[in-house]
Amino acid sequence: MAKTTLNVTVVYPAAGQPFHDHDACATETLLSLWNRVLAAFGLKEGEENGNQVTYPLFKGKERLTDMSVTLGALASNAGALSLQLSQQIVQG
Amino acid sequence: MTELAKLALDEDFEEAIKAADSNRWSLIRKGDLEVWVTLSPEGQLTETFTARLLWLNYPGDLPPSVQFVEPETGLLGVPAAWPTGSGFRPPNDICANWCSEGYDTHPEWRTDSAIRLKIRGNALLMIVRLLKQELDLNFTGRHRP
Repeated sequence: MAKTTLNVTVVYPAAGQPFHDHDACATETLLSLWNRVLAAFGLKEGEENGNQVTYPLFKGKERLTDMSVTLGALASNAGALSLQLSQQIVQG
Repeated sequence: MTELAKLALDEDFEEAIKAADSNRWSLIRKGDLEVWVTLSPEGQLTETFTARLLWLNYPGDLPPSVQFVEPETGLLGVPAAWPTGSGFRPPNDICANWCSEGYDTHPEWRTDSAIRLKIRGNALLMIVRLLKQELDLNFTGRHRP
């Protein structure tokens, strides 16, 4: 039976402590989670001084690009989901 | 270098070798403000890399110099001591905001609040974890000049 909540952890080494949500809704989209994670870490994507700063999410080595996917689908119905957030800087 | 900086690194070094994820790296204290970290990209245990982390001040306002080193000789700039992948520029530097070389190449990062690394907590542990993440996500092989 599919889990309705998930234990989500997002690691961002520059922040020190990981982001945890022990009761994330399995139907939440990755985009929604990503917005919550950026807010929790005090980060914002954008361009400044000609540098484009982005914060992609990774599951293992896989960069997650489909932000409409649900957390439940990403976790394959497991009870936990562990992701990494990375800062990427692209020179203008 | 102040005695305070050395003592701060002493304390953080002890915490870093006992961290929950410390099975992913080994640390050697090589000098007052110098630490060598040896680690492998996730799933690539036969590929081991050693990086020299060297601070001018600890924890300081800027991250340390991060250079891969040939562990047997201690030489820097040895091409085969470097990994390849996005961000790694063997045998010279890593283009990242968590090493001083990044700010040498891009001085504008020093005043860019969106990019400049905010040093907080255990600075040694932060840099080791950032290096680990870089290797885990971006490693494509060992540099073969």
